[in-house]
Amino acid sequence: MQTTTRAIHGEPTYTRVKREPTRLLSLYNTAPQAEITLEEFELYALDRLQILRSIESLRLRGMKGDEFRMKLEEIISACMPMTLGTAEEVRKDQISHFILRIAYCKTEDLRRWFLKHESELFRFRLERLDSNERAKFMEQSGLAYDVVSKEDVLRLKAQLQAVPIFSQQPGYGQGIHTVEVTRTQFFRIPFTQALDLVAHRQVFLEGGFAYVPVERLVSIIVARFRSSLSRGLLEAFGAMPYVLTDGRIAPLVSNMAKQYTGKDFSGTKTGDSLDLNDLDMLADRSMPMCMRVLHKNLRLEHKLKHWGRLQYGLFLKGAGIGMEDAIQFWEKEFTKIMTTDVFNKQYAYSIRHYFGKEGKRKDYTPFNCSKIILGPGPGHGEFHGCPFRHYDEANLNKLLERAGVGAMDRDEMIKLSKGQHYQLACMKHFETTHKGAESLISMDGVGNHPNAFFAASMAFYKEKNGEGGRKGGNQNPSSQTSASSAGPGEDAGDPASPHGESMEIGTGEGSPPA
Amino acid sequence: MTAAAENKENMEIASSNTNKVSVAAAAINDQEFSPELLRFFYNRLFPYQPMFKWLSYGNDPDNDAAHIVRDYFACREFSFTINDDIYIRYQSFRDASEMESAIQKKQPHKIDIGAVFTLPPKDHHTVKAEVREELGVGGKAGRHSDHIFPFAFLLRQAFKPVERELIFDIDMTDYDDIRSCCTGAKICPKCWVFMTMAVKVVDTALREDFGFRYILWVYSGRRGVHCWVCDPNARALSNDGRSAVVEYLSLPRGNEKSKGKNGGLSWPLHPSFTRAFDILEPMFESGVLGEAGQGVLDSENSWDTLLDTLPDEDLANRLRREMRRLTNAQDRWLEIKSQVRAASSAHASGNARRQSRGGRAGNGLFALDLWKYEVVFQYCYPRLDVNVSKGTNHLLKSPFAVHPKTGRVCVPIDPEDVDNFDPFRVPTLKALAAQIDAFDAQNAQNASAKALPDYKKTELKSAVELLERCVVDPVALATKRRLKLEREKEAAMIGDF
Ligand code: SF4
Ligand SMILES: [Zn+2]
Repeated sequence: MQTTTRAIHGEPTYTRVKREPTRLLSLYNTAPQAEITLEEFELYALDRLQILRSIESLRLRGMKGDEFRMKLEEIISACMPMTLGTAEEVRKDQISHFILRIAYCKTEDLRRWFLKHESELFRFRLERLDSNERAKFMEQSGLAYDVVSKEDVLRLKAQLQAVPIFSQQPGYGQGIHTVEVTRTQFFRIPFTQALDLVAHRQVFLEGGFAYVPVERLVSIIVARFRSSLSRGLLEAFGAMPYVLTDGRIAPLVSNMAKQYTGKDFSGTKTGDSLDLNDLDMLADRSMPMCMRVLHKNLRLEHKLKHWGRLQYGLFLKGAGIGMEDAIQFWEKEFTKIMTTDVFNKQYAYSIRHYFGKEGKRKDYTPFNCSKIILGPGPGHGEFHGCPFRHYDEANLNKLLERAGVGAMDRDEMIKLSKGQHYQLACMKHFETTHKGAESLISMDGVGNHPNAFFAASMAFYKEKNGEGGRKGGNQNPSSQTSASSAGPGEDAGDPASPHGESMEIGTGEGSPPA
Repeated sequence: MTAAAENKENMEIASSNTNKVSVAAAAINDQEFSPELLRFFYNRLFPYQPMFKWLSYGNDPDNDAAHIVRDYFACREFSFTINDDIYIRYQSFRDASEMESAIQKKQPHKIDIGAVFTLPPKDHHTVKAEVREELGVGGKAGRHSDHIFPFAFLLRQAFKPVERELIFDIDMTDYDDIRSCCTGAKICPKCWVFMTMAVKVVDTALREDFGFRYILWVYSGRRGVHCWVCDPNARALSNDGRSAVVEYLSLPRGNEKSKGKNGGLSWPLHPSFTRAFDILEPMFESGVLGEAGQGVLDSENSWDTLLDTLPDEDLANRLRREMRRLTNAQDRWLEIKSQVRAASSAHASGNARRQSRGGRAGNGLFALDLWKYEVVFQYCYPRLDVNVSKGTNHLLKSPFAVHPKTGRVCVPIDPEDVDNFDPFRVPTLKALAAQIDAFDAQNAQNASAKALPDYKKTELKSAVELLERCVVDPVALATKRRLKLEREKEAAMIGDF
């Protein structure tokens, strides 16, 4: 791996990372000017991504309070310890943050996602500091607010007491209690920095200053973090053209947001191969909505357009259908409307291609949910994509109804989809169709990867029908293959890049809509 | 701007020139408002210079000292309504005299003031649309902020609002559900008291809670009041900041289940509410309760409606009987309050912890304590038009504009003396014309008096002085101080004391 000395972002003003070993937390106001290898570049970023995605999925599973904190702590110490403030920790923290900042600045959706989960991570780390460390951090970050003197607290006792504290930290109770005013430390903060509290009248104001009890400080600092990161993301967006001129970094950055950090189902070399004859049954029983739709339409119309073939074909491959079976499967269906000759010429090659037997001989990995959801949506006559993302309410409702989902569950899933929680809706789909699954099998990856959905369903039925062994089946949630994938230069054939070389698959048709 | 409007704008409007329009010509007919009166007003009375002094905040385009933003006033948007129906936006002027000639030429029936933009608004066509689009997101970074934004060179090109006064609009039509005296655009002294109360509560909160000092209250010309907060940090507020302030100043929206219109209060009461109550309750007693006000407690019907909102039915029934016995609204209110207080302490002592009616979750115990606040606030708490305040880019009628329906001038209101402000005594154009005549006649022999600016011969004199006292003078002083400080800082830096 070659070494790059390139600044990741912005002006080369920050050179003190290594000399600030006590720094446990940062507002990331200045980009690091650090030397890193391309390998580090990718590894660091993926480790951080893993943390942010874990935050998302913990929250999606409704996890709160101490349970949330414990789980997150575990994940953080596995991926990227941030407890000692050593030079190495700080370096990785800074670098990975700024890489992802660039990777996630391109669209409003990506920015919102990054902002939300970085803020959660920040809050978690801020809450973990003791009061001494917190004071130090605030001082370093220019958040050194005046402490209200004891005399002033006594003078304003009645007013301060009249402002209820609803603890807004996630996972805390929502009870009302009056501050034990004289024992509480208050900070004097310009009201413009406590707008949320001002708007909801949850703070006492005097002369343009908000009197914020220490318990509230966390929210204020997190709000500051949010707003400066939000600005930073827009700045990064503006700097994209410069970043993209670096041919080594550009592809890494461009694909980062689509990277899937869990098991990637690329080489399913498990013994459980599937019988083609079971596919119709399995589509109804064990496939996620996206694949179910593709399967049904293939059976109905005897064809699928490019993206549909790719999405479904790779899924089947990940599910354990070997190349010979795959060719047989597609041929049987397609030749109902075309000759074997046409099929062999136009389609068989591409199937061998994505099994790595033709062309660049690259073994393609099945699409994960992010790829499907963020990828090009289905156009007219196309059936790829994620129904939770790409179907309108009426169609989604119909689809779910036909899949036997009850009205109440349908409502909930539609609501989740509307709130852009497509993957959560998908998890819900799994739960309602696999009652009692949590106690039988591991559901890791459900809602993150169609193959994880399928594998979990298979394990569920195996377990239920008494065939199975231990809990979890062949799941291996900690396996991380993305980090060991080929170097960035060889990545161009990634089937997810919409107009990369993978377009040679199925040349018989036009390009999918953008 | 529509094409039609633009055409109209370019049309020569039957023009006055610099010749003074005579009082006699202006007052030919008996109306309070006419194009002639308006021309007379713009020619001889409109206080261009004081308005310019205010809106330039010490940034005089002819002052070449350092730290003066010479195009500050030029970047301010004005908009005109001509002939009641043609609306021209993005007018801007270098200085007082440019503003004067534009107003005299166009004879706007209405003048609105907008934001200060990154560029003079009249040039906004020259900014490329896509640049504007891309940078519409830039937070508060801008020409007048010292935050360094790496793409400032682009921002300078973009046309977007940078700052403006924090404004509030309180309109009597928002009080229609509680007004028994008038509806719609009509007002009378009975309902004007709502405006008085609003000014007092909002003004106190702006000063005490937010620390604002340069606050201008203005009569809207017909049935409401406007407020302009001119402190530098108020002008620089983000849209979020404006929303936060206006929400802080508004009553929480009650949920649908609660009975009273404003059942959103919760215990303990925020200090700003307790203070508002202390301001409002005496005025509620004297100006709203009885027949001199809205007659809230002067007939069986009216007190029934009020008592229906009590969260304690037995108490309400007891009070209904009492009401008949008592002879005036004030006494009834005192009786209600004292019985509610008694009942509330009985509740608190624990012998009656039953569910109160009304279903205010979590507040059941406090529902009785909150009740009197809810009643007073339902009538008296300021009802702000939230949307006017929220955006940096909202336009608001200029002080000293004339209301075409009433002919009254939008004069400033002294918040210290708002009790004595009478909208029916605000001068009309016709009255002002008569005042000049009278003054000149009285001072026929006194050349220096006759040479005074015309507005000083009329009631507008005190109105302009109020503008000067509220904002122009203190802001000028602050600017002087700021410039001195900057100069000292610079001197210190180059070691030249
Ligand atoms: S969330 Fe993933 S698995 Fe579920 S339907 Fe969408 S793409 Fe398929
Ligand atoms: Zn009235």
